[in-house]
Amino acid sequence: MQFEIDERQPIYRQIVETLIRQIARGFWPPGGKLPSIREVAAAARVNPNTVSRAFQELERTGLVATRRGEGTFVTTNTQVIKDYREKTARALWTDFLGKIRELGLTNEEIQRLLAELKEDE
Amino acid sequence: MIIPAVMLENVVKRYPLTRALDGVNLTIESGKVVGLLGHNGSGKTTLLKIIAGLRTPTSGQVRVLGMAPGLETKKRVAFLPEVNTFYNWMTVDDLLKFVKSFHPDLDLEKTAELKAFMNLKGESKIGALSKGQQARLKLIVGLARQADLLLLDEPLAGIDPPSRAKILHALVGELRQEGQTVVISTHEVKEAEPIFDHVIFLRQGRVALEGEAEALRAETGHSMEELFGEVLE
Repeated sequence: MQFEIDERQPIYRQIVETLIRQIARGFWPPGGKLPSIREVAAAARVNPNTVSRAFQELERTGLVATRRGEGTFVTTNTQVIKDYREKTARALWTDFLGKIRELGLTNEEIQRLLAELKEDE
Repeated sequence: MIIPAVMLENVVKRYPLTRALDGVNLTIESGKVVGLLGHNGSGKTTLLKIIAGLRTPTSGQVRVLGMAPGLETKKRVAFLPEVNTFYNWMTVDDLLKFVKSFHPDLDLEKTAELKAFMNLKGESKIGALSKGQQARLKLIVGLARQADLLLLDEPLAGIDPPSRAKILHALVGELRQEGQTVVISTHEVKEAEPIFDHVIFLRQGRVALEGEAEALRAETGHSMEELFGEVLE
């Protein structure tokens, strides 16, 4: 478990984003237990209060749920994870497309470039 | 309603030749880890001493744990001064017993755990400890008290940089009591900033900027270290 923290941005948000990415990728599998607030705080070297706030935020997405006295678990509803994964991908894609369009590329040109994209690129 | 750990209203502290605090208004919420940031001479130590009840302000109102500073608040507040006040002829264990005699809330079980964490031996003579070891000893004394409010004045001074992050982290993690409010004065902002919930920038005896660290990051796109440079230059 590794966290790259940029102190110029809200730390809790970076923790939420990291955990969402890890859940989307299956690093924390459906139904699996997330590390505790203290463990995440130790790994990211931040205040447990900050991590606690990140966990609350994460619960609001529906991707995880906390069971009293047991810990925080990833949802077993894989559809929720899939939707979130696509939602995140779409947000990244929209951001990226905006920049590509600034170069004046047409949809056809973008599709041609995409088709040429290799698996390892 | 939860009572704030500290409330200051227009607090002024004048010394014969200087004005150490020049109208400070401040609320510190209970359970937070607060960074009191400023250069030397900005009033950090005076502010901590007033909260600890060791100095009285020239004017203004002070409330600590909902009370005026006094005997009752002193039982619940631990203040660790920057300067060393320990006797060199004592051993580490002598000192802990000595502290226990006037602070009965000192948890001796916890001091044993802390000695192991800080790599200090009970039989070592204080006079023979390095500056960093003395700084660690001071932290042991502060952390082992069951205080609701812990005030640390430049706790990292003298501690080698690689150990600082580890100690800071333990300070807000496993070493902190549930719900304890911690105020840390420092100018080592880079190492300390990830542990702060709230920061107060003090400049020439006034609050130059304060707020929740995460909100300040979101608003300014700056780290607390960058803000320190910007606000206090």
